[in-house]
Amino acid sequence: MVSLQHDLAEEAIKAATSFGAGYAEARLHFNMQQEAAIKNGEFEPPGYSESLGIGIRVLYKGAMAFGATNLLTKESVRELAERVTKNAKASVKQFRKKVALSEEKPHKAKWGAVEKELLEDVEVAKMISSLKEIESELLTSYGASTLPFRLIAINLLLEEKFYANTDGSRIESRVPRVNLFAVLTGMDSGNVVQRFVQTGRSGGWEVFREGRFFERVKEEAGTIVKILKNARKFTPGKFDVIVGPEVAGIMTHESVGHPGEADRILGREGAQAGESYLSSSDIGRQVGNENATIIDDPTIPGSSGFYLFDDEGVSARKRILIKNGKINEFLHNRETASEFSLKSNAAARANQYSVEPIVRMANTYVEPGDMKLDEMIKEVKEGVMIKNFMEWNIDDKRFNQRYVGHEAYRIVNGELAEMIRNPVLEVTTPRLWSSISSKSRDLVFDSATCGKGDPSQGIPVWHGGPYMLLKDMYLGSR
Amino acid sequence: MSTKLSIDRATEEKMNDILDWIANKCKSLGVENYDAITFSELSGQSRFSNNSITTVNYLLTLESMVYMSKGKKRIVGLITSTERESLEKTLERLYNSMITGSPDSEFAPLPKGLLTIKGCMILMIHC
Repeated sequence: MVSLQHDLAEEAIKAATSFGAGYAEARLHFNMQQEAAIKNGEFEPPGYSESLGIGIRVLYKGAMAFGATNLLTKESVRELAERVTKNAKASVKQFRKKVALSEEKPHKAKWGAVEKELLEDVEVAKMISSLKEIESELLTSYGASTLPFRLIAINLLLEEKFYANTDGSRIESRVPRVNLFAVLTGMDSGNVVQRFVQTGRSGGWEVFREGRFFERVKEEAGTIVKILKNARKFTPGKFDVIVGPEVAGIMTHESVGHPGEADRILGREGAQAGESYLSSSDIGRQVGNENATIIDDPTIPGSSGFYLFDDEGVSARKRILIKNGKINEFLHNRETASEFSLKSNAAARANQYSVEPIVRMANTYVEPGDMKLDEMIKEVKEGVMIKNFMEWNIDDKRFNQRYVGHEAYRIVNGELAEMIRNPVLEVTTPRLWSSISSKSRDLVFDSATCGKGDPSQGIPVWHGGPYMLLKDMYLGSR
Repeated sequence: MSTKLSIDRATEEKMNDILDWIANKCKSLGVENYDAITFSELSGQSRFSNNSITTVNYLLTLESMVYMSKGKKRIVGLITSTERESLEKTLERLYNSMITGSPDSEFAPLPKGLLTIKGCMILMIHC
């Protein structure tokens, strides 16, 4: 645990105010990252990094400026506050559209993810021995000729922050996260199947066991072997399609979460992350049927995207992005919320001290239904089940997209039949969310790193959902 | 934007201090090969969209990239600590991670001898 010097944040906002800022906030932000990896039985050099610094953001007559440094002395912080405020003052004329922030209740809080075994106490030897165990199990079960390329990595990330603003908020937080990444390539009789797996949670080292990370990699390797031996090409056509939680999850993230980010909708991300098919007047627009309820919730304990206050000091809550097929709310920070005359729904996140907080997702998912998977399969006369995916693509406005299946099966007369190779689902966002006929009662999440921003900010998220039955979808093959 | 880019003398001295701290700590830990680059970055960014500036960014950082090796084991770390005590603690952690790791079959030692390169914004030691 690092000792964050709260007095530096106090000094920053005091100095910015004394130089004329109308609003100021400071975020002391510490990140520790430790990684170990094994590639085809050989260990990669382990990596360890730390970053600690302060980010200051000020508002002066509608001009917003941000600055950051890791020179953590009172003098440096004062100088930075002065420089940032001067930049805001000098830019007032260039801000043709004045920036305002939504009025929010200030909070004094200390929060964190539940953890038992502190990440600071995890020696790299422990990570290496876990990797050795996984590697040895893969080789014993499948052999190097079936799985000729194996890269497995464990990543520990510890994030500690202290946030202060001139509204009176003072918030301290600590979130440790454990992630496992694996790239597995299987080969058999000239066929090649590759799978990228990321699984992770917030919490201490104990989540490596509790999250069944080890078992997940073994299962994935087994599936690769099954695909290599059994999967057959299939004839494209129209089918009823059941997609698994992993596919439902990536669909929510890419085609609901991203286009629902208010900064994209307002055009602010047009030259960077991209735009949105939605416009600011689209609240209430029908983009799906009554089964389409998509949620983003940062407050899920143990999730990768877990937080209780965002990086603007706003208290986090569950956000219902699509409710029974209608656009219900966008993801907002204080700036975009102000443009919509709303309160922020706490979507501002920054991944390190040197970047400003921007509008981000946390844990995005499809609300589950009440059926069992086998009941859903029984409903299908001629169809396909795509359990998970190997790749996806989506356009800049998040309207046209495709998902390529990894583990997939034909469904014939209500029963799973032969395994098929790489079914390709191409669909538009409204067509996708208007096709849900039923949903299972499961809710399964996957961990991911969402990219956005310039400089780029990789942010830990979860996405997931239940099994969903999509009616009458066109499936291609490759 | 009209940001004047310059690294002041105090920052340059701090960079030299950091390299000395790294070198001394590596020696006291018994590291056989070490290599460090300390770099200071001063950057400005203006974001422009929809016919208006949306934010003005300013960044001043001082960071060190450290490579160390011993007995065919090696590790690389990025350190942003600029205070001696915290930087040394991080180096110890880095060293312990390296020692508990496995030897690297592709290991090659750094070239022998002392080399000091001083640039306008990057200071580097290598031994």
